Amino acid sequence: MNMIRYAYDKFLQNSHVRLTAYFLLVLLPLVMVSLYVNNRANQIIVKQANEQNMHKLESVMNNLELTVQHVDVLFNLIATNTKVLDIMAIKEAEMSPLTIVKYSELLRELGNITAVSQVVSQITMYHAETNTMISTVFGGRHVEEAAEQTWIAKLVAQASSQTSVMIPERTNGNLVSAGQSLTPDTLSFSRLLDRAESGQTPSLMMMTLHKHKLAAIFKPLLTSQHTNVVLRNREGHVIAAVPDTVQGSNTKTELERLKVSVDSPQYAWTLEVMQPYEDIYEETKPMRQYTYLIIISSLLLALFISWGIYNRIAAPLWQLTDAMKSLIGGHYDIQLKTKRKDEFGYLMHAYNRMAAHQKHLIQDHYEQQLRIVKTELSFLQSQINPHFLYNTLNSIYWTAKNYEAEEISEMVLNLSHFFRLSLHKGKDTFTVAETIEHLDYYIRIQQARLLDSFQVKYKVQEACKSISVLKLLLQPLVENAVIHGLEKKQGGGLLIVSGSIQNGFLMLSVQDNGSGIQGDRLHMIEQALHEIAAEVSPLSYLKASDIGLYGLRNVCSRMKMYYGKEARLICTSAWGEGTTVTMMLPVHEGE
Amino acid sequence: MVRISRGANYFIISIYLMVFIGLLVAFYPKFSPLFTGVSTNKTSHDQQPVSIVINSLSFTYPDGLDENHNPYLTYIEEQTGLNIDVYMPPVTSYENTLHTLISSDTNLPDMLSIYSKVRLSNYVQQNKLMPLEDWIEKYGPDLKRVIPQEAWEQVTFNGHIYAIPSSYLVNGNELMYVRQDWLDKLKLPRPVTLEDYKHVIKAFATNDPDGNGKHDTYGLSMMGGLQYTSPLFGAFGIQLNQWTERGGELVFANTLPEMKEALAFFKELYQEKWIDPYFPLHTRQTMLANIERGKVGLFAGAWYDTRGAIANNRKREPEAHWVSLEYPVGKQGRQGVEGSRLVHGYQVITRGSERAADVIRLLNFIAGKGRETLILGFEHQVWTRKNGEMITNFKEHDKHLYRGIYSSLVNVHDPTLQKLRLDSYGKHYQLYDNIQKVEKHAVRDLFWGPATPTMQKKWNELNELQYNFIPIIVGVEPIESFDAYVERWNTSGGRQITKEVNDWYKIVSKRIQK
Repeated sequence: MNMIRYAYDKFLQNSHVRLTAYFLLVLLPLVMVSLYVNNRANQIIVKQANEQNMHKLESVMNNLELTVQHVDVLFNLIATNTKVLDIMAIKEAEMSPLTIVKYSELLRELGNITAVSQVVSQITMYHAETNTMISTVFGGRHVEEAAEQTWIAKLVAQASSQTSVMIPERTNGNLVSAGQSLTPDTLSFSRLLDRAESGQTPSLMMMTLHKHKLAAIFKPLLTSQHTNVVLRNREGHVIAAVPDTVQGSNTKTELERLKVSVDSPQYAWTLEVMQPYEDIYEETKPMRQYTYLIIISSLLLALFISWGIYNRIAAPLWQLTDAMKSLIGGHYDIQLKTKRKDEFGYLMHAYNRMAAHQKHLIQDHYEQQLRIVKTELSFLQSQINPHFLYNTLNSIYWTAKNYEAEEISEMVLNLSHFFRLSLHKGKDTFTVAETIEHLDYYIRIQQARLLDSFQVKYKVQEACKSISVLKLLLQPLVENAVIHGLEKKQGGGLLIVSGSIQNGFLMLSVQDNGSGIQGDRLHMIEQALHEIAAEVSPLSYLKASDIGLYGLRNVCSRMKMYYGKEARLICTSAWGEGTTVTMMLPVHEGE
Repeated sequence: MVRISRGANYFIISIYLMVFIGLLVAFYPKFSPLFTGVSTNKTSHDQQPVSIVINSLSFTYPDGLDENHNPYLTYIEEQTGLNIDVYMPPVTSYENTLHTLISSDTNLPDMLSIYSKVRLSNYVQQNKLMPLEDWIEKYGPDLKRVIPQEAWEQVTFNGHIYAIPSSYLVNGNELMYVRQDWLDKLKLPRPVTLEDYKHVIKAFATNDPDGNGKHDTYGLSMMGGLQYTSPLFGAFGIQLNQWTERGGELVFANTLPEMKEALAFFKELYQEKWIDPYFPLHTRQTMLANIERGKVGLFAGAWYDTRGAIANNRKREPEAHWVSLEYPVGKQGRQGVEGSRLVHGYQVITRGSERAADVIRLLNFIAGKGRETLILGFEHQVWTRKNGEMITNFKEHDKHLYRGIYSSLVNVHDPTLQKLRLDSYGKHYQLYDNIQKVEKHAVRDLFWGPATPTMQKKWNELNELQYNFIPIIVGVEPIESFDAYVERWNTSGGRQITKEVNDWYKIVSKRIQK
């Protein structure tokens, strides 16, 4: 199941796999059709071979029968020949000279018959009464040896007064007995000579067809080297076979050969031809080979197309996807290398340009903003020359001291201290204790301004006094509290500055019991703070805003910049009762 | 996703290119057989065959081989690039079978091997043969080289050559062989005169030389057509079926009184039952079989029978000891054996044949490049060369004797090759000595010209009359019927023929004298 799932997923995800699959799907019916056509062609050929062989067999059978009739005629010729009849009438135990002369004349006659017939290669006659055998090949003599006599007797017993075929013997010994050789590549016939008087042993005539003639008769059937033709009698014994195999020395089995046979109506024999299927299919072999070639090459073509699509289309797309992922991840330097000049080449180049542009855009923008801040900062800083300030404040202090204006000298002293701490070179952070001390100077100045209309209380835990905090975070909050909360109060104003550690956070808060903030404004404040908190670009506080909140936004931004997301600025207020602004700064152990 | 490297890319492209090119090649018709395995080559067996009709010379073949399937035919076919189809009619009626063949108008073979001069003339007259001189010019340089001018003259009619003549290997064929062990047993000297021979023959037949107590041996044997008798006829100064000179003129030997004497001689032998009585029914095989079985003590065998029938007899009876004798000397010291005619076979091409060029090339090969191999056998298989001498492996030689049917198509008299070959068979067979003996006493037919007009008409018929000799010898006819034979011979055209032959003789002898 997993394999199927895996394959299916792959199929969906890769367009080239899909395309290849479609292509193969189209190929499949084509392959099936061509294989079917091949098969059909083979079947047709076999059928035709069958028919052809059948026709040929019939005509060969006719030919064979004609030959047998010819042999029959020759037998008749011999049987009615006066010389023969003369000789057959002889009943001597020993051959007299006259008989010998007659036999020699008979031999010449038989020789003439073979000369004229052209078909018969050998004629043999056996005269039972005198136990003499004459053959056109071996001359004439008595049958002496016992083995020969039994053999002849057997032949006589097998023969009849009809022309009959002699069956080659599968003996281990000599097939050449008395000059008559019976091998499967020739055809021999035998016939008994009709006897005029009964009671006499009949004489035997034997004729052998010329091997050449037999081969010529069977030649139309031997279409290929491995074709076999066999002539059998009704019992299945082999009478003649071309090529010469009495035993079944075939290298191919029955199944691999097409066997067609025909029976002779007139004579008791069957002619079979066996053709190996391989030879039959020989003709269509090229076509089959071509078909296989085509199928294989189609498959290869499909694979090639798949590879082609992958190489030219899918791979570049994947390259592009990868590059985009890296771009998203922040690597602006990715450049795709390609030498192609087609659509994909264009796409890659376009992508490269886009990425470069993006990179420049970001860098430029950042750089620009940084420059702006720097400029502002340097402008701001240029406005304050510490030495001038200190010297002037010193002068004011001593002048005030001279005039014994205690309040003025105290205020100037506090201001001097305040500015000194503010412009403290280098350090970004003060401890909480230093921050409170700094704050105190400011608050005393404000108190002096507001004619001591409010009091301040410090509730700072001992534990957090040594923690470092970013400088000038609380001061704007206190400024807000004084300006917006306590200024309007006529008396009894209270400012509480507290600091504690809770849950890993340093809680610094500024609380006043002034007028508080109205609901909408509070809401607006919260929104602005939230905006700052959410801004990806931390320099958004420089954005022009028409709602003011310069100080609060500054604090919040700086806090966020320095402390990250975890730091929070919370502003709570109740109209007419007071406002509390709390800073939650993450604090790490050991700071 | 797997990224395919550039190298893998190139690899796949190259595979594809190779497949593409492979397909192109496969479908290109010229190369397609490589893939389909269907051969478009035409082997020599697809060619139209050259059909030849030749004499089987009674040779046998080893198992599985025959005249159309044997290594020597394959050798010829390969060397000439021809496909040859061989047909061998039965030996006993060879000439007649050929006659029937050539008389039919259909299915004519390309080449025929005939042995009768008369028939050759007949066929030329009947326009059945193709004139060959152009073909010989083009394709038969070796034929021109090895065949002597005399032989060409015998096959030239009206200025055209109608046959390729085949000569003889040995001039003459027969020798008298006798069983020395029987002579010794019966304490007889070697016969020299004809009377001696008669004496020996009688002794062999009656005195039980094989010592088995049975009356089953004979003094002489021969064939039904009176073959294997020529030394005995030679003792009478004549040879069967030859033209001989008497008083400056040519006479047919069969009609001479000497022939009557010879027939009387044989008749006596037969009547006394000293000759195998069944000889009229004997083919060569039967006759030699009798010798092998030790039934006959004397016979006129071929010069090579020492290795044949005699050797076989010695295998059966190791004590048998055969020697060759000098030819029997008759009255007035006459001796002789039938000599071979200069031209003994004729290879003709039927007029309508389309393969005359191929036939001439075949014969040229047999006479030229192939001659040594066909006569001697395959080197390293049948014979090898050792220290300049030839050593023959008899088993192989005998197994492949059938190669003679091809080599005899153009027999060439080559004494040097012959001595080498004969000695290689075994000097103890004395084959070379035998041949020397034969050639010393060979009597040639003095008429070697083309068949005269009357010959062409009547010769075959006249030849049949010769069969009258058998009844005379056997005793069915009296010796006086010989005269009736001569009379019939003369009146049936023999006289006319004799005249024509002598006309020829006068012209030729004048030419020789010049």
